[in-house]
Amino acid sequence: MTSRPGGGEAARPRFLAEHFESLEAQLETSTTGIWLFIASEVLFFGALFTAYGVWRANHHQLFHYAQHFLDWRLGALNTLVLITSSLSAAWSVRCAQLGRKSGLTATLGLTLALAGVFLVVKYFEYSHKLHNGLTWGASFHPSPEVLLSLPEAIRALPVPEHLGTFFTLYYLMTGLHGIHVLVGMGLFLWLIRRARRGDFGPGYYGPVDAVALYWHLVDTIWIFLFPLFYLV
Amino acid sequence: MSTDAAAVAEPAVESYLRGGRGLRSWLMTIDHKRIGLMYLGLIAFALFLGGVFAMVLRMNLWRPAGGLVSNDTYNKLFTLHGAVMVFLFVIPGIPAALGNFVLPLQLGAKDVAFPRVNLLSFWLFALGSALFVATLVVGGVDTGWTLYPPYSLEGARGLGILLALCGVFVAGFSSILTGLNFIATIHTMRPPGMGWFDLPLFLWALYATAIIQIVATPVLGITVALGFMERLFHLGLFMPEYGGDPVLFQHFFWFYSHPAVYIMILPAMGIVSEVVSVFSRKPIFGYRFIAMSSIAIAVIGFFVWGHHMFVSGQSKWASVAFSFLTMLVAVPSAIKTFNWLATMYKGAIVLKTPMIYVLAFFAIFGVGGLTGLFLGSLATDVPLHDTYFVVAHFHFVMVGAVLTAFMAGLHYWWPKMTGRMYSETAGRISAILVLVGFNVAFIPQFLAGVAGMPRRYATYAAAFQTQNRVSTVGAFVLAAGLLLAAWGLLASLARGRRAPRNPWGAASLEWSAASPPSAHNFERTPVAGHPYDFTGLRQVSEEAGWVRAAGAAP
Amino acid sequence: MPERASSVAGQVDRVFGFIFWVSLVSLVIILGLTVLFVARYRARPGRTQPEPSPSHHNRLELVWSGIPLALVMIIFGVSTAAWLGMVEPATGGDPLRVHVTGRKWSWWFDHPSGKGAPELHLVAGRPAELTLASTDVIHSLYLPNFRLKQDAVPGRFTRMRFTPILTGTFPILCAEYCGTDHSRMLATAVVHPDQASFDAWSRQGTGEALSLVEVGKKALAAKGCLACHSLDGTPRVGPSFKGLWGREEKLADGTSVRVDENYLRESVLKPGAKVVAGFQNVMPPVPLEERELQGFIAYLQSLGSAP
Repeated sequence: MTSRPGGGEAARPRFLAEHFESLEAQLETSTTGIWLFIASEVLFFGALFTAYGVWRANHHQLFHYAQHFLDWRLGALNTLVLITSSLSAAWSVRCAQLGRKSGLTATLGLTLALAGVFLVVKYFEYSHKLHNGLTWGASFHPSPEVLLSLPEAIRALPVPEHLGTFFTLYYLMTGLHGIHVLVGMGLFLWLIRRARRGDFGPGYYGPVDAVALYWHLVDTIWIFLFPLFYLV
Repeated sequence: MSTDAAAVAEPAVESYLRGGRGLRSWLMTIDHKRIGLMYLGLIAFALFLGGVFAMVLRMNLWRPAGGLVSNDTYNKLFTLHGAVMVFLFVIPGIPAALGNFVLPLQLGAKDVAFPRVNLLSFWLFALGSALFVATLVVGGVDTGWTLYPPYSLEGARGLGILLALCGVFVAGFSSILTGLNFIATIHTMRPPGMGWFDLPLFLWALYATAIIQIVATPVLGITVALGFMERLFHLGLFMPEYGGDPVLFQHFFWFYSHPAVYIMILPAMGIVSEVVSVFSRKPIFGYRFIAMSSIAIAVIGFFVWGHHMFVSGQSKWASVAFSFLTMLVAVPSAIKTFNWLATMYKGAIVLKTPMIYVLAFFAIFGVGGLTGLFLGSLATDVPLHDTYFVVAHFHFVMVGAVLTAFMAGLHYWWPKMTGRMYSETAGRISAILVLVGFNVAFIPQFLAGVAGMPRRYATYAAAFQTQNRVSTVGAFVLAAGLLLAAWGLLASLARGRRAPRNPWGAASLEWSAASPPSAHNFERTPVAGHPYDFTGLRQVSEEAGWVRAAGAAP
Repeated sequence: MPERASSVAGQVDRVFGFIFWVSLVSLVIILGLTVLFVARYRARPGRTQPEPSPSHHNRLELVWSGIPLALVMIIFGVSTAAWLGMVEPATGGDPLRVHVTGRKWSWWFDHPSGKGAPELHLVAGRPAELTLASTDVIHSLYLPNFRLKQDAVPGRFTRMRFTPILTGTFPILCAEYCGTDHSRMLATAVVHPDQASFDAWSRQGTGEALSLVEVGKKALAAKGCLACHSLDGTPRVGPSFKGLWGREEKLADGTSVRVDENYLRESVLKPGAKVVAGFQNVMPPVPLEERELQGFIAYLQSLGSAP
């Protein structure tokens, strides 16, 4: 929310939009807005989790089998990375409220960097899978090497039908989550620019608060995705 | 007398229509009123387009063997008629066009909470509409607006279905953002002194609607996105040939699309509550019950989607539970109806155009709601499902009731939006034509459905010819009524009398702004009173409208 | 309303009549009050102000919430009772089993005698059990005179049970939109007065095509199923087919399942999904065509169900 130039009132705070009476009212509104946005995001992912649940209930063995194609260590690493980034995002809100400009820039930068690490790890996971023919739906054709890398007990089982569906869900859900991470990185870049300009302080920290809330949501979704795909 | 004189002599206010000229000042505006008007333009266009499709359909049904258009063309036309009307007219109609204009005004606010987001929703809506129109260009789609797979996602299908799915997805985002904006606005921008139970009932209705928009629309978004990817990448979610389950799609689809019916009807009920009170000159009866019944409908409405699937092969006890919940949702609607009637009791009922449209709403909504009982009840739904009975029922609710309320609201707020009074004669005649035409068009369809005529039939058995012909005649009367109303409203822009601030003697805050309001709505922040407290309001003259006597409660 | 031709039609029409009268009375009340109020309280010279009257009345609200609530609950009760009778009719006698296949844009009916036809043949008074399948998209078998309708969904079986009570021919329509000739996807139901007449029809001109039971029998032999599943009740590597249809099977995971169309489909296509207790999960998936699946099920039904 940025201000428009002009306006007759004297001493109107710079970032107070015209249709609000005070910065407090503006902050309250933007917080309400971001929570509503989060509610609709939860429903958005909720539909996918439902699809996951239905498929899992109907194709129990398929999930048991397919999960061995995923490396839980990489998933765990990414979980750790995201949780740390959430902490640093929360810290950045605190810095903004206290008006610590350098601390704010540093924590925002750290969050951005961790988000980048997450995507790099994800990139290695995806490229390894695509390279080995672990793709979605009907185009799923695992390479012999990747089948050999499965544990002994799993290799003995017959290869279930529609294995590709597991990967469909995997790519859909982690991909959509990845897009959210990318959007988050864009938002952090924007915040860093504004923080360096000195826009934020005890009176005005709404955007930092809102983006941090969004980031916690992205983190929380991953905390559900990780066990559902890598562990169960 | 001095207060009267002050109100009669309009202070020099620069109207929102004038400040800022040129196309850019409209297309990039963040003024909720201009955005509302732009929505109104698009929505009117969608209504016209969908109406033209409907007319071709009805003409094709004049003969049992059809023949005006081919079966395939007929199938494309009813698909686009449904999709355009549902996604581009009835769902956004009242909330996005009238709601955007009225909501901040009724709150005494300068704008909605997030004006830029509001502009974004408008543009998303415009983009979604453009995608729908683009499906026409690439040859159309013939899947029905319900998009049931496997039919809708068959391999041979081209670009049309992909564009349509994108259109639904994008328009859905517009709807989510509008809902988000409305809830945030109502929560945080109420003026001092306006508690929750001092909100105009239109705002309660928009609030309940917005809840549904936020909770249900994301599921539709993900559903069409999954459909899109199923078609492109064969995900194996909905298509049996790739290992999917088509009934899963139906669950997802109706989880949104049944609550969507309440996205349509709740704001319509809100308008009725406003109009019936103002034109009976009496406070609304049972304010709290009307407000809470909106919320009850929004909540229960989420748990009834399975009644669309009684014969799809869902489990027996699921059907029983869905039937039970469907029956429950009838009760809040009954509560509202009786409260409106009680509002009219002992009132001084003024039969201006908005009120006549509201009376038409009572008749049409009464039939539409009660015929819903036949479809919510299991035994009778089995034979009636997917017949013309269903077509008639949902047209009564989604079209008849929503359309009459929309027209009531449009005439009611027209003076505020444009600063001009429309022609009462044209308005009243149009309302009567709409009521008569609608009933002639759709009552025969109940009879055809009971006699066993399935829906989406390009050709039909000769036994149904009479019902179909009467229906076609009715459709033309309805169209004539709507065209007359459009003419009456548009002509007022050139020839209409200047509208006073408060032409109807209403007590809610939008009527204390100028007609049309200034860019910031109010010259000074208004003081909120109860929206249905008419004491002290008196009419100066037809031209000067109503003013509140000095000393009376604000 | 179309002539009532099934044992449930009367029930359905009674429910319909009940809702109709409840609705009509409600509508008359609503519209009557509207007209009355408009006529009496219309603003006119001498009546510019409303008469004083309260703006809320809690007892009144309770009355007009309670009465509709009671009414819809009665409707729900009456209708659900009738419906449960429709989906689970009392199993009397030996049902006439017909396998129905929907495809764009026609219906095909395989009758127990082995005769397939584009029309449905039934016997008045004898319960019928229809198993519905689709080879392409969703269709819906709609029999207006029987007051019945059921979707045919690709990838699964659905079922319809009823007893025809009236001799004659009745229309069959497709009620789920399925493309170009959806409105021409019509067929006829012929209800024979007695079994003899039905049998006479069954014998006419059979022999040119394989019956559904034969299709199933042939598929079993061709796919080597009989190596592991006996026909005489002896358990081998897998359970015997004899008396399997309709049986309650105990599964390896402790739950149990009734052997019906959809269980059999799953067990052929995904053998590991529900393994019967006492057997190993060793069967490979058998890719049967839709018609072979129907044949397999018809054949199992012909072997008789559990006592």
